[in-house]
Amino acid sequence: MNVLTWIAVAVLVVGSALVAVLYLREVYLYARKPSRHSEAHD
Amino acid sequence: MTSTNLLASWTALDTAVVVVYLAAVTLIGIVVATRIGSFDDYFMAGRRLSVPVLVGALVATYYGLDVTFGAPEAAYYDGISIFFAYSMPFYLAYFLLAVFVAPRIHALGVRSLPEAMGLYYGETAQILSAVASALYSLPVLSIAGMGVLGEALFGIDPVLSATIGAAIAVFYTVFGGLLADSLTDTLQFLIMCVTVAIAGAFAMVTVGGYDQLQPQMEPHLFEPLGQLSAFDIAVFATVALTPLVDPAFYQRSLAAESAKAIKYALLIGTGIWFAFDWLVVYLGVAGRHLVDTGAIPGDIDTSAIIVYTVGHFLPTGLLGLFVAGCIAAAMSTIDSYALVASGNVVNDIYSRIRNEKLADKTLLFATRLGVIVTVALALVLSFRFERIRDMWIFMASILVSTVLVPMLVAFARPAWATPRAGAYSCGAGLISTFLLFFAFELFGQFDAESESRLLTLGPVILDREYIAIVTLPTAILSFLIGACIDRLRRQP
Repeated sequence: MNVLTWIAVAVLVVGSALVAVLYLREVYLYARKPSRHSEAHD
Repeated sequence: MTSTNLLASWTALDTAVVVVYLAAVTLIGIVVATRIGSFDDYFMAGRRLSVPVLVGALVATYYGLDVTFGAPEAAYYDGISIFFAYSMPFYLAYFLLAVFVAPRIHALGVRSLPEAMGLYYGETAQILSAVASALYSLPVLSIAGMGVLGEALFGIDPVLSATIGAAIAVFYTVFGGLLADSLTDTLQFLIMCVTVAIAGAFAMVTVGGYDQLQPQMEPHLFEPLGQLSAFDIAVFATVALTPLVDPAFYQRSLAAESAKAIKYALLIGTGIWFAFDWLVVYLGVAGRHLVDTGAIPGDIDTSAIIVYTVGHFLPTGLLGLFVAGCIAAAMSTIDSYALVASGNVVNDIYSRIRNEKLADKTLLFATRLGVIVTVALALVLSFRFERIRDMWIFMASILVSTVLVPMLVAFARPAWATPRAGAYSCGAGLISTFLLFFAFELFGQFDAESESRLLTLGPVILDREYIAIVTLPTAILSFLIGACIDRLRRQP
């Protein structure tokens, strides 16, 4: 049972780290895309 | 460590963590607002949500303070059976949702669960489903939870702390819609996972895991099915069907960039939910051990057992992260469901009743206004009900009884989905739940042992928590009657 608890800790840490990396990549790509306001301005 | 000295060990670093978190979610709302051009941008995030954002949005939305606080409290009394009997049936539902239901929802190309119902069964079923979906989505539980949190941690008036939390969630949701909601959910998901993982690791090192706790504690806490009856387990399995018709899952499935994205996100999410449930149940059992050994006072409010347990383990500096995690769990649920409820009223009820296609700008304005009204209504309701659990039972029963039967039949056997079958089933499910709930209120008696209201009908004693056992068969029977009438009318 203790092993399962450590696995659960690892799943949350690794899972959230992976999501964080992919999320930051998304945010970076999203931020590089011009907003509707700047598109309209251009 | 009690709540009082939890506050005493609060440092400027803890405050900074909470302030940074609140500033980040507000900023996301403001930045995303510049990219909203249409109702689809606002309500469906332009239908471009990717796997990582979907994972965060699904996990954070579905797991609010009810799980973060409720599961440890239940485990405090019933031990690991809460994981095996209550949580595990949900994983089967998540799997079915990922593999069979979500890809079908995505392919429909509609905007909401009621619109999907309308597609199969027509206008009446859409409006009835929208009523059930909007009632289910009122974020009453999480708003009340914010009040409990503010009072338990800092002694702030619960109405004030709930109002502040709800106001911030409303702010970024009104501006940024589903995209801001999903992006903030992802941030909230990260904080929730990291907090629980750290608390679990500290607890393992400090008091040991189940292997060390078992010889020192009552044996029933470590029995996989504990003292639960077969009937209890059957009822839990019925409750676990809720994700199959949860309106927030539908909205995210429809807003996913592809069917594959929502499928993978749900499968990854199931792994995360499994780990999260296992740890919060463990923290509840560890909390019971701390109370048994006198490390935590025995007269505490057990609904906040996780606060006391985590407060006991976490060093100064991480407390702020834990509090931010709790706020995140509540806010991620408030924002998502407020958006869904507002969309249901505007897009599925108002628009259908007026029988006109509203202009995009009108839809956008009305949905934003609806978010404010929804949260204000939930705020009022959350402090009117003496027992929040009663409200939750009513809301969950109404959704499952109204929508589950016709929606699953439509996915499994589209040919059986006829207008009367849908309308009769939705109507019977909705009305029977209302009638039974009020019958319990008027004629039922509160039973202190089961902490529920009981209604005696001759030799049968009904528990209010189990009203779906009556309303679901009513919905099935009504569906069959409607389907038969439609079939007979179609025959020459």
